[in-house]
Amino acid sequence: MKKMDYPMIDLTDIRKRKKIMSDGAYGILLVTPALIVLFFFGLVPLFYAINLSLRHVDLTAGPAAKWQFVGLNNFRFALNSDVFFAASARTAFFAVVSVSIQMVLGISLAFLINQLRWFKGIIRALFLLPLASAPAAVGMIWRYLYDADFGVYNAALQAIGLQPLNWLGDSNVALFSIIIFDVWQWTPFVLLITLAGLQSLPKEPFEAAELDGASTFKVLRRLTFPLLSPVLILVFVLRSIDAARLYDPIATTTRGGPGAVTETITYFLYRVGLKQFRLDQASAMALIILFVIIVFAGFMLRRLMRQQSERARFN
Amino acid sequence: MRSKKITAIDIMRMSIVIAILIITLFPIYWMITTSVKPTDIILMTPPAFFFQPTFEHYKYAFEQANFAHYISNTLIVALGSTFIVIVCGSLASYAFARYNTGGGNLMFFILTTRMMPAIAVVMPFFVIFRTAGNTAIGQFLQLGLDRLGTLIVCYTIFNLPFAIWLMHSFFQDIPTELEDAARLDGYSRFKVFIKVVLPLAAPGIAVTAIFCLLFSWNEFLFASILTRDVARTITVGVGDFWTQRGILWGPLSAAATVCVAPMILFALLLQRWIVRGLTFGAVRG
Amino acid sequence: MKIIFKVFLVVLLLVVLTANVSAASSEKVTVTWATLAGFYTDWAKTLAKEFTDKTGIDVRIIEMDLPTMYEKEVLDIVGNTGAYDIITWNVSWKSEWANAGYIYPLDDFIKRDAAEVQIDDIAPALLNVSGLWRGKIYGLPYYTFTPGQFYRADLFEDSEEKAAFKAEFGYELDIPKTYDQMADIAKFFRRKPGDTLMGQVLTKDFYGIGLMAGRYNHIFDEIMTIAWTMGGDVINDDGTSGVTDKPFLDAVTLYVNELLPYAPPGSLSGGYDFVIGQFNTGLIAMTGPMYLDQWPNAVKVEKNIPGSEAGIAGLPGGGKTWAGAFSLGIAKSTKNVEEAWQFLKWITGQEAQRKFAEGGGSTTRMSILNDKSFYMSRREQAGHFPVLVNVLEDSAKNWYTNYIHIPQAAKIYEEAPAWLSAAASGTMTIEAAMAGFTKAINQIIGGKATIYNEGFLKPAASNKPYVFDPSVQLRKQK
Repeated sequence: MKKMDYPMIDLTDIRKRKKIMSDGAYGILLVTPALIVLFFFGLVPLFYAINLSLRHVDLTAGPAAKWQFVGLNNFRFALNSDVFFAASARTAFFAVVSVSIQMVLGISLAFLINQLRWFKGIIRALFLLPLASAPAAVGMIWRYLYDADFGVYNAALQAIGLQPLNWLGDSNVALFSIIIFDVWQWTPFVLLITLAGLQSLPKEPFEAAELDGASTFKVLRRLTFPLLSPVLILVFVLRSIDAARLYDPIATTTRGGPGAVTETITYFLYRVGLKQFRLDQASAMALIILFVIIVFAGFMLRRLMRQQSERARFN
Repeated sequence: MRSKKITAIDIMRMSIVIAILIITLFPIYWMITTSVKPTDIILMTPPAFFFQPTFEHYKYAFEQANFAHYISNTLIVALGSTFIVIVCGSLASYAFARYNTGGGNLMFFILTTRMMPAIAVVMPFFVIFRTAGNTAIGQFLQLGLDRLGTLIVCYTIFNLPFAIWLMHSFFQDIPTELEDAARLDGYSRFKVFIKVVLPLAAPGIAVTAIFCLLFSWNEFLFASILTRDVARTITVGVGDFWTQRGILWGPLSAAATVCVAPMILFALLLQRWIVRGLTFGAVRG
Repeated sequence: MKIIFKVFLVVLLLVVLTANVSAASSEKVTVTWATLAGFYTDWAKTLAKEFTDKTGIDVRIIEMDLPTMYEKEVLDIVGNTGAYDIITWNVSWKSEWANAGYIYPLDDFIKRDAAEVQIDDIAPALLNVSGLWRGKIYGLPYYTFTPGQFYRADLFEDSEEKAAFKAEFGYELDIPKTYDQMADIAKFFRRKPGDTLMGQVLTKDFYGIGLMAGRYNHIFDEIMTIAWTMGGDVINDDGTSGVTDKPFLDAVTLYVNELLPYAPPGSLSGGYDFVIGQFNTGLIAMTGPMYLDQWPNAVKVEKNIPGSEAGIAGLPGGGKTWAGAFSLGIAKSTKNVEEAWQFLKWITGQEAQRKFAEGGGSTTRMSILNDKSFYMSRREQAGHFPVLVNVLEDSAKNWYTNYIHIPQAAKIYEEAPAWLSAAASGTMTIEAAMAGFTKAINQIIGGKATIYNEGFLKPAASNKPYVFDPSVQLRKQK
């Protein structure tokens, strides 16, 4: 295999080449379509939500009801609400456990599949299935599978002589049942992205390492994971953000119960905003959550972003 | 040259993967079997594994519950929004990767649009799209409430940040020497992007496309709030089976089974691009 | 690749344009009806076609599932989109919407078309609870889910079981007349593998009662039912929350400590469909308070378990429990009031309701419910009618609650499951859960609710307490 062989060229020549617009401007041009959409649909709702959060808004109070300005009342209410904190803590716990399991399983599976000799494509497509069916339908199937009386999982447990569990009704078990469901659905996500990352790794460093006689473990530690880390961190952050927004599995299986054991923050906000129709309180809570997520993501991604700014060519 | 001998590790690897695959696919298998189970034995203890299959549930889902309409809606919305996302997103993503537009901050801002809990955004979206639907341009672009254009725009917004970030990491992995070489050959920046960068980034873009399709396919909250029946998608349509007579497990499973098929098709189609990208990689050594 | 994209773009544009064209409105007036998905809507679609043939008014039916129906309808009527002309509601929603002025009073229409509407034929209990607000009628009920109880008549009448019950509890095994009796029966029929049931040895667990103890609205329905028979109420006469008062606490305690332990574990995450599934697969001896419209599903036990018979009874307290129905009203944001009324009249009219009942729907018209020749010949669909009539007649005399006369009823209804499920599952003590519920109620009503019960007579204290008369049951032919 030939290595690309080019004469040494002074790259400044290329940079100095006459262009109709500078690279910086060109970059902005490329970004504009996406930005227009996102600015409008990202900022307008944000300001609307901020407006709602500063007023008293009960949507079912009648057309004559005015949205009175109440300042920071809703925020004060949210920060004093036990239910809100409990739901947030629960969601954080859920996110940490679920995402960790998904990352470990997904990355391990990606390595396994990457080295398969046969049927890679089909297997990759089949692993997509948990995500491919309508979540509401799959949720109800899981509800049925988890049922303490009619469900297959308990039938299976009993068949091998184990005690059946009350998957959705036992307050100690219910949240873990949801975690299992979430892991089942989203590990393919981690798996497929890691796999794509593995498959687009440049070959040279690995060949060089093989020539040097490096052990598999060392290759993994010094070469594979560092090269993969941008993708992995990104997947981790994306999954964490999404885990905090978990809604469908709860709505189709436990509806937040038993008690409030599986009530995540999104489900709680749904109750406040679309059942009690107190969109003012829901907006205030949503803004608080947004702030927390931004801080978390910013912290996780700061190193990544700095790395990438440096790698970007024209700067 | 790799040895062609099948080693024990190969077999072991395959076995582990297949075992995990079987466990993973069990709920799907259950869904498919329930879709052909006669209603009376669906809720039975112990669960029935062998029975005489029936297709009445499929008939019900498509004739009574109008499911073909929902599937075509979802297809249009998913394909439309994914297409826009890939086009706009890949351009933006490339700019961030190569020209570092806006430093890291602009990219971070884009990601934050995805962090907002959906509830807070429901009302504004409802109002925005309702207003848009009353204008002439809005009606032309199908932007009112209960119109497909609304959902296409909605899902574009949701998936764009994710797509930009994901494709960004794949663009970064492409060595810049290749682009430089092409520029030397006289390619314009845009041509470099289309002819050199995109094919190399194809695996990443294909994966991004699959997930954008999936997310649009699976979205529930906004599909529920912003549509009634004309633009209803399958995620909401499935709720039709949650009736006062109980959950219609048979038609529900039938509908869900049918929904899986297009996604598998897309996944297999997009595999080709992933493979094509790989052969390019082999050429470059 | 570029060519593919271009072609795709063209195709997409074409699709978008043609979709636009087909959505163009016709000259006919179209009335849009937002309603529940399922069998009833299938019935409604056939009837809607007949209506269109008769009157030329198009009917567009938009079905949705009950959990999301509330918010979808609110968003449209509050947002004034005019998308729904006729809306369907559950009892507590009406109070909120009538008070806020989102729905039309129908009295003038009813007076004008009195001959067709025959308002007196609609069960008074149902009209009161789901159509009236402050003396005006806002909607007409069309599908009732008034509760009763289903039980295994073959079990209750088995001589061995009866003897054993009398030996253990000292009175005859029969349909429970009080909730304490229901608790006894539930305990009695809880059997483990190896125990006998009707002379046969069991291989799996058998449970005494089925309850809807999941975090759905149904747990609130069940517990309220018990609370009302004990003299408790969600809202007291002075407008304060009643869920921390003794009668209500007693009801919750009875539910959690004396009924729930004998129910299958799936109850803690189940709703009515799972309880009926438990009943008709022979897993439970009886249901708790259960919506009588589920009869066509419950009676399936007779097919699944040979020799079994599904019995129906009124609950302890009879009509004091509650009566409930889904009702239809007209949204103020409609642009076609008259046409909407025409359809509403039609779908709640004699002809449509009779067809509804023929398919197994629980109609709200007394003339059909009382039509012996009608239900005698179709026990599997309408076998519950006589019991329903019995309960409804008692309800009209004996049922009263402050709860449906306050505008915040819907919000309380949506808030309840969280707290009741906490009590039922043991994640909170009963006192703590009810205290939390009261706190939430106070937050919703602002400490004290205004009760708008003009024209409603509280039941006379001298009314005789209800005892279910088994002679009204429609028994299975031997």
